Amino acid sequence: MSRDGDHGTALAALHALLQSGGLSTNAREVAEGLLKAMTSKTRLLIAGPESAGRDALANAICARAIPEVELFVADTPAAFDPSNADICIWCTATFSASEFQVWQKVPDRLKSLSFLVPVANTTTFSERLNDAQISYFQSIADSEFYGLFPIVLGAPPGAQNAELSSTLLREIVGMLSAQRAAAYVDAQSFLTSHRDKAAERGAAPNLAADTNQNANDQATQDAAQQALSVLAGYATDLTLEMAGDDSEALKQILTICSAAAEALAEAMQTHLGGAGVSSEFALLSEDARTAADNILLLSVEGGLSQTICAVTTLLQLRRELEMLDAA
Amino acid sequence: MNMAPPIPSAGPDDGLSASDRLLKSAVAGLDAFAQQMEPVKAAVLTAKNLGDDSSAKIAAQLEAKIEAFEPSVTMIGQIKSGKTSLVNCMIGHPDLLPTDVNPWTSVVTSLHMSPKPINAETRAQFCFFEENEWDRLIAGGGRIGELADRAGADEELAKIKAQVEQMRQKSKLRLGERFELLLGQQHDYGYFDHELVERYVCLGDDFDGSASEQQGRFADITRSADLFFHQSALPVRLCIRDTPGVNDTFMMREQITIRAIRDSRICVVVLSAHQALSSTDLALVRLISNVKSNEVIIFVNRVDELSEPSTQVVQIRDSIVETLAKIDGPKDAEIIFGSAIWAQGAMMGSFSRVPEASKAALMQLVNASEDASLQHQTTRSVLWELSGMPALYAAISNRIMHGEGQGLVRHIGARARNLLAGVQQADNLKAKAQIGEVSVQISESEISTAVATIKESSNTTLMAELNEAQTAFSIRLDRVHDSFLTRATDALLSHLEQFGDDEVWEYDPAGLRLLLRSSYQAYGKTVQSAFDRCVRQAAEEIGSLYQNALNLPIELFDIKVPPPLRVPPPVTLGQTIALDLKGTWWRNWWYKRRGYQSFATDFRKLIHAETIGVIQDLKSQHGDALREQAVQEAERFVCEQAEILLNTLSAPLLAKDGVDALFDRQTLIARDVELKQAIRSLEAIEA
Repeated sequence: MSRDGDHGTALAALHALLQSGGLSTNAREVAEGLLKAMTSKTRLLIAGPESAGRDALANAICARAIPEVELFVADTPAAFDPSNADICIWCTATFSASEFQVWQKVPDRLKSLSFLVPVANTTTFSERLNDAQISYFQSIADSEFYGLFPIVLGAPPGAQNAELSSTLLREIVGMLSAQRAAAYVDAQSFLTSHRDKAAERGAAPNLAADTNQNANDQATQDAAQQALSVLAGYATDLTLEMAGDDSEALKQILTICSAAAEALAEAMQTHLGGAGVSSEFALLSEDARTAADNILLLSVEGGLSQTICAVTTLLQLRRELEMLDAA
Repeated sequence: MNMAPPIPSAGPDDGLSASDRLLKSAVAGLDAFAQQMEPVKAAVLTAKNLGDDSSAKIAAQLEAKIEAFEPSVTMIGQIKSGKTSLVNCMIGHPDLLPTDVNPWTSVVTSLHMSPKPINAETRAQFCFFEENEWDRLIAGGGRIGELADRAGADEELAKIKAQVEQMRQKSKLRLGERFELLLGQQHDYGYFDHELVERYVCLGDDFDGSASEQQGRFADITRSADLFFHQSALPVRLCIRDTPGVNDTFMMREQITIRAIRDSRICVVVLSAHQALSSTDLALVRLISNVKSNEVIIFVNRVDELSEPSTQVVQIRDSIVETLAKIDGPKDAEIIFGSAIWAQGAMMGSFSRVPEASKAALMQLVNASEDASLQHQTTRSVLWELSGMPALYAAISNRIMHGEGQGLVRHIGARARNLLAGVQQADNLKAKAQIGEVSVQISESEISTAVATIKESSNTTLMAELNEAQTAFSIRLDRVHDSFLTRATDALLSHLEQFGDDEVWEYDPAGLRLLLRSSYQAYGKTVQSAFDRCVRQAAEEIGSLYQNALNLPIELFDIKVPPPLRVPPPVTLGQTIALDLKGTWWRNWWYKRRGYQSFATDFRKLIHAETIGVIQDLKSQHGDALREQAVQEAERFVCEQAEILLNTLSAPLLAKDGVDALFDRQTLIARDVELKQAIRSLEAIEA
C-alpha cells in the first residue's frame, strides 16, 4: 500500500477510535492532536525586515502551489506571531541586533524548523554577500535556524544563489513531507498501543483502567519533565559557549553536549525500571542512549559540522521530550 | 662523598648477604603490611584451635588463603629500556635473567619470591604455546598478519609469512622435525640456574657458534616461565612478572602482555631516559590507559646515561606528564627515576664495574642534590639510593598495602570474624545445654529446610539479576559497536565528499574505547550492586534464622558481609586495532579503493572485523569472568555462613549427648577471653 493509502487508513482508524468513545481523556487529547497534525495545513510564515525578499519568496511559493501549505506574510514587526507558525522564513539584509532580539521570542521548536534567508540584489551583491557576511550568517544560522539560504534577487536563472531559492523550496517541501511522515508514525504507534485497550474499554467501561492510564500518562509526563530539567541544567553553559566559534569553543560545546546527552540518557534510564512510563518514553530513552554515544564519538572527532550535529541532536531530543510532556 | 671502593659491610648477624640487606631495606613498607596481617593470622589460628572440626576446616582454608597470598607486579617497557636488568635487581639476583633477549621471544617470566624456604619439588616451570596459538602465528602471521590480510596488503602479508616460515625452519633445526608435538606441553625442573633459563627464555640470533648448543633451544615456543625461589629479604611473597616488549613483528607479544597486566594489580612501566614517552609509544600507553592511575608506576631507567641528570630529569618528567595528558594516559601515575646499572653496582658492591660516564652522572646528581646527607654516605648507599630501587619498592609496597593487601585483610578479617562469632555462640549454647536449658527453639529439620531455602533463593535472585545485567551489557556493547561503525563510516563519506580520495584520511578509535570502557564500568557497577544486595540479604536472613532459633535479639548476630567485589580494569581495550596503525599498509588500503561506496563498504567491513574481537573479549574475558566471580564469591559466602549456623545450632545437641568435650567453667571463661580478644583485634583493624 502507498504511503498516501497508509496515511488515509491511519486517519480513518484514528477517527473510528475517537468515535468509539473507548479512549481516556488524555489519550483522546493526544488522538485529536494527531488528527489535527495529519489533516491541517502547515502554516508557513515569511517574516523579517527585508521586504523585497519577503515578496519574492511569497510569490515563488505561491507559484509552486505547494500542497497543504498555508502561507502568511508578516509585513510589520507587530504582525510577527511565531506561536501561530509551523515553519518560518526570516528574510534579512544584515540580521542586526534588533532582529536577534525579536528572534529570541521564537520557541526552540520553531527555530529548529526555520530558515535564515539573507537577501541581496544584483546591483549590490558584491558589497552585501561577501565571504565575511556569509560566514556571519552561517554562524547565526548554525545556532538559531535549521538552515541558511542566501538569495540574490533578479539574478539570471542558473546563477549562484539565485539557484538557492529553488533549493530552499525543495528543503521546505522535504520538511513538510518529513513532518507528515512523523505524524503518521506517531499515529501508527498510538493506534498500536490504544486500539486493543479502547476495544476493551468500549466493551466494558473500566474505571480502574482509566485510572491506570491516567497514572501512566502522569508518570510519563513527570519523567519527561525531569529529563527536560536535566537538559535545562546544561543549557546555560551551552548558551555561554555558543559565543565563540574557534576550535577551543567548539571543543567546549562538544564536551558540554556530550555531558548533557550522557546525563539525559542516564536520567531517562532510571525511569524505565519502575512501572508507569509509556512505551514512547521507553523508545525515546533508547534514542537518547544512542544519541549520547554518537555525541561522544562526535566530540572525539571535533570540528564545526560535528558540533552542529551534536547540538541539533540535543535539540531534537528536547523537542521529542516536550511533545511527550505536552501529551 | 666517599668514593673509595666500599668495604663489604659486616652487618648484623641476620644471615643476609649485603645485597639482600639492601633489598630488605627497600621493602620495609611491606613489613608494615606483614604486621597488619599478624592479628588476622592470630584470629584465624584462634578459630582453628577453639572451633570444632567444621570451624577448624574453614579456618584452615583461611590460613591457606593467607599463605598463598602473592601480590604481583607486571613490568612492561619500551624496547631497550633496561627492564630485565631492573627486574634482576628487584629480585636480588642481578645476573639471573638474560638481558640481551632476541626480539623474537614472547616469554612472560614470572619470578615468585617467598620469604620461607621453598619445599615444593618444582622450582622452574616452562609452558609452551598451545597448538591454536601457534597455528594462528604460523597460518596467519599473528595479529599483524590478520590485519595485513584484511587490509589487502598482499606484499606486507607475503613478507610476514616469509618471516614466520624462516622462524619455523629455525625452530625445526633447534628442536627437530616434529617439534610441533611439544606444543601445549610443560617442562618442570627441581632447580634453575642461568643456563636453564637461557635454554627457554634467551634466544641467540643464529647458530653462529658463539652460543652453546642448548642456549635458547626452546625459546621460540616458550610462552611462560615461572621460577620459584627463596628470598629471605622479603616479609611476604611477591611475584615480579617480566613481559616481552610490545612492538614485535607479529604483535604476538601484545596479547601476552595484556594477559600479564590482567593478572597483576600493579603495573610498572619502564622507560628509557633517552627515549622518554613519545607518540611512538602509543601502544604502550594504550595498554596502561585502562588501568587505574594509582596502580601504574612509571620508572625512568638509565638516568646514569644522561650528561646532566639533575636538570634533565625535571625536563623528562614534564615531557612525560604532558604526553600522558595528551594521549589520555594515566595522568596521575607516580614517576620514579633511576638506574639499574647503579642498583647492580650497589648489589654487587663493585663500583669499579660502573662505567666512567655513569659514575660522572652519579656525581653530578649527588652534587646537585638538596639532600646533604648523600655527601657523607658510602658509595654503595649512594648508588642504591639514586638507583631508584628504594623509591620503586616504596611505591610498590604502598600500593600493595592499600590495594590488594587491604583487600585480603578485609576479606579474611570478615570471614574470621563470622567464624569466631559462631564459635562463641556455640560455646554459649553448650554451656546452657549442660545446665539443662533448652536454647534452640526450632527443630533441626526446620533449620535445615530454612537454610536450604536461603541458599536457593539467594542463588536464584543473584543469577536472575546477573543474567539481566549480562544481557543488557551484551546489547549495549553491540549497539556501541554499531554506532561506532556507522559514525566512522559517515565521517569517511563526509571526508570523501569534501576532500575527495587523494588525501589519506584517518579516524581516531578513542571514541570506541571510551564508550566500551564506560559500558563495562556500568556493567561492573550493576554486578557489584547485585552481589552486594545478595550477600546482605543472605546475611539478614541467616541473622533472622539465628534470632528465631535462639529467641535472642538480632543485634547479637551481626554477620559481616564480604568487601565489595573488585571490577578488574578492561585491559583488553588496550589491544591495537587497524585504526591505531597509521603505517604503509593503511595508505596501501586507501589508495587501492575506487569509488566512495567501495570505500564505505570495505571500510565498514574492515573495521568491523578488527573491532569485533575487542567486543567479544570484553563480553567473555571480562564480562563472563566478573559474573563468575560474583556467583562463586556469593555462593561461598552463603554456604560458609550456613555451615557456621548449622554447626552453632547443633552444638547444644552434641553437648547434651556428651559426644563433644564438656568444658568446665574455668575453661569456658578462658575460651571466652581468647575469642573476645581475637574479635576485638579484628574490629580494631576494621576501624
